[in-house]
Amino acid sequence: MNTHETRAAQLFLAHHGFVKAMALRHAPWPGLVEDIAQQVFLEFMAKEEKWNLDGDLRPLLATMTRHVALRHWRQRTRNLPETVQKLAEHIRQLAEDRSAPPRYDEEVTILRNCLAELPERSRELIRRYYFDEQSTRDIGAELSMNPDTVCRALSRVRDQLRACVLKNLTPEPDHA
Amino acid sequence: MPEAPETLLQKWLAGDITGPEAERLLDVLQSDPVAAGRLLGHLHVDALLRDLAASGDILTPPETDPALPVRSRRAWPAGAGWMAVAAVAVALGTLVLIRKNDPPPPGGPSVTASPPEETSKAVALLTRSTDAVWEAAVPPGLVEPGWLRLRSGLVELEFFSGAQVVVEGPAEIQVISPDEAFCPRGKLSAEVPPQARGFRIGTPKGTVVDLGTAFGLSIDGSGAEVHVFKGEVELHDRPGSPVRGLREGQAVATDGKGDWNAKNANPTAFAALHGAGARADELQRQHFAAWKGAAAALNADPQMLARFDFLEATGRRLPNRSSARSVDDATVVGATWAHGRWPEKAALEFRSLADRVRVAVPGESEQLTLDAWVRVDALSRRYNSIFMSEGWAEGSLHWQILDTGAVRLGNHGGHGRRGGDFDSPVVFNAGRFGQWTHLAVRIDGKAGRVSHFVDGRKTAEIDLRTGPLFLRPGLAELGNWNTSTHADATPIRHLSGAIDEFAIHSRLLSDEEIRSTAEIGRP
Repeated sequence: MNTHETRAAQLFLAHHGFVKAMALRHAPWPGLVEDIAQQVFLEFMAKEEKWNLDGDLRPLLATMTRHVALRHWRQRTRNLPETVQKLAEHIRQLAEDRSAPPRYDEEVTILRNCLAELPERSRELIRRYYFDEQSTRDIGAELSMNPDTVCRALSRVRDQLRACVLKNLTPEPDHA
Repeated sequence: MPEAPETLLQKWLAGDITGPEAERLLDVLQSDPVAAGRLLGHLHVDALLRDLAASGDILTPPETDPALPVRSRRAWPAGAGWMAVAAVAVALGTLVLIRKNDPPPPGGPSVTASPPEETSKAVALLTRSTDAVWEAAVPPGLVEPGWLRLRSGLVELEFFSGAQVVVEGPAEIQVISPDEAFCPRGKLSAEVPPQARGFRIGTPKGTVVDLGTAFGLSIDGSGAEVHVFKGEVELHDRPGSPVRGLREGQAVATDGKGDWNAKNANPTAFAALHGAGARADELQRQHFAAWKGAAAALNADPQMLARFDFLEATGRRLPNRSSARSVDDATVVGATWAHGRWPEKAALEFRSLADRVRVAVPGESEQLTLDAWVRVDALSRRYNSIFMSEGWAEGSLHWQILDTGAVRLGNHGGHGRRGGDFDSPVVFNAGRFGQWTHLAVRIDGKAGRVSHFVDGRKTAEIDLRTGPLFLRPGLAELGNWNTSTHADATPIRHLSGAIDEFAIHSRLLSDEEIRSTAEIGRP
């Protein structure tokens, strides 16, 4: 591992949140963000000797992420029913049109505190769905709830978390 | 009855929406901009939650001070599961191990690759060197099969078979296995205990097979000599020729034609090799005296906040030798006093959860340089502390060794400034365990740049584009970490090893100053 490779990897790590935010913008498919970020990392490292690590890497990473994201998006959606494809494309368009700057790193940090402030029952729901990977049907069966009620409850908790994150986001620092 | 938008949205997020449901959701999104914005918000939170779930600590209890970020010690967010693996793989040069899985919804994708457990091919140990000048530097410690080329000086090798070989330069020796070496040039003596019987040293003129003894071997362009001081050796000079046995007091030397001729063993011809131990001890005493002699000048630096030299065992109090005395004496908790780099000098050994040295570094700094002499015996924890601010408050510094062997300087950030983890390449592997290593980290808070040094040599200079750093070490510990009220998934971070010198400056030491500090303290 030479110094340039090590530095390239370190710089990528420092921009990891940026890459994820861009991935979510170009391919807003649930669970696809990590895949894209991983692929961008591999492609970035494969050509690391070509990159000028002293400059701003964000334009380069943004372009790479866009290409990888669109590739993944096409792979993921091409075999879907036409109506689902239409919906997916509409959502992708909505996400791309959103002009808010990526604040992924900061939002993850804030989200953790927001989770800690949730009522216990809401936390339990999040834990079961995201941490234990239970389906809404299984959660409903275990908690004696209708699966639709679980969907609505999860939806409400995500609304709360989104509001909490937005409330706690600080103004963008000058040096970011 | 049509399903509520929330249910459709959830089905989209779960990846099991049907065609008709997709059609209905599309209708909703096209006709209701608020619903569209809400869906994007859900997608965003869903991605963040998957990230946190992948990190495995989604249920971390709340911080005592909820205003503080729980875990922002990386410039990237928590939950970078595969990235953590990637970072390890990068550090170990094993990127090929990273595999991409299909993303299992929900919970996000995972990477199952893990770094290979470190192994060592070492067959010998370089235990001592006296005035050694190498063609390519060979540090003390484990020696793997390969060539050692010594221009001058003496070195001592202990083969894992038990054979002990002292080599005098100029010499070339190829270490082959725990019981075999090849020497085309140089002078050496070997002590071979019964357990290492059969230890052999090949030369271009023949192979000496030891039968449990002590012998000397000298070889150069003009010929070779084998002298037996004790016991018996066999000389296999060429294939097919009879094996020649040599007993104590006997020797052989090649003549101009390359034939072996008998002569008497001459121990005085190898006297320098037999006196290697005494010479090495004397050299160590000189190094210790030089280190002590340099202390006054070092301590007089007005920007030295603290220097703990561990000169002698001082009970629970560790005196700060810095003339400026901006930092109080430190307090030893649990750690055991032991020998340091030199027999005359003390060190503190850290072995258990309780072992630590408490030190308070008041105030904020724009620049800091930390350096320490550390002996790492094992990387038993995921994070192995060198110097760690208590808890993880604004301005905190966490100088620690990762289980990959890389050194990390973590800075929390604060006062509107971002922090980050500044990692060196891998420093510690099996070959360095048990050896004294000089580490330094230079933190340019104004520029947001951190440089790592190992044994006086710069190994990394890192700018994570964080902008200026906020540095406030505060109450801190050597060799351990007090989590204070901070909740963390890896609260146990004690060092397995020893520290016998630590200094902290409120300025950037130059490359030359760090090199000089390492050189003067070299054992």
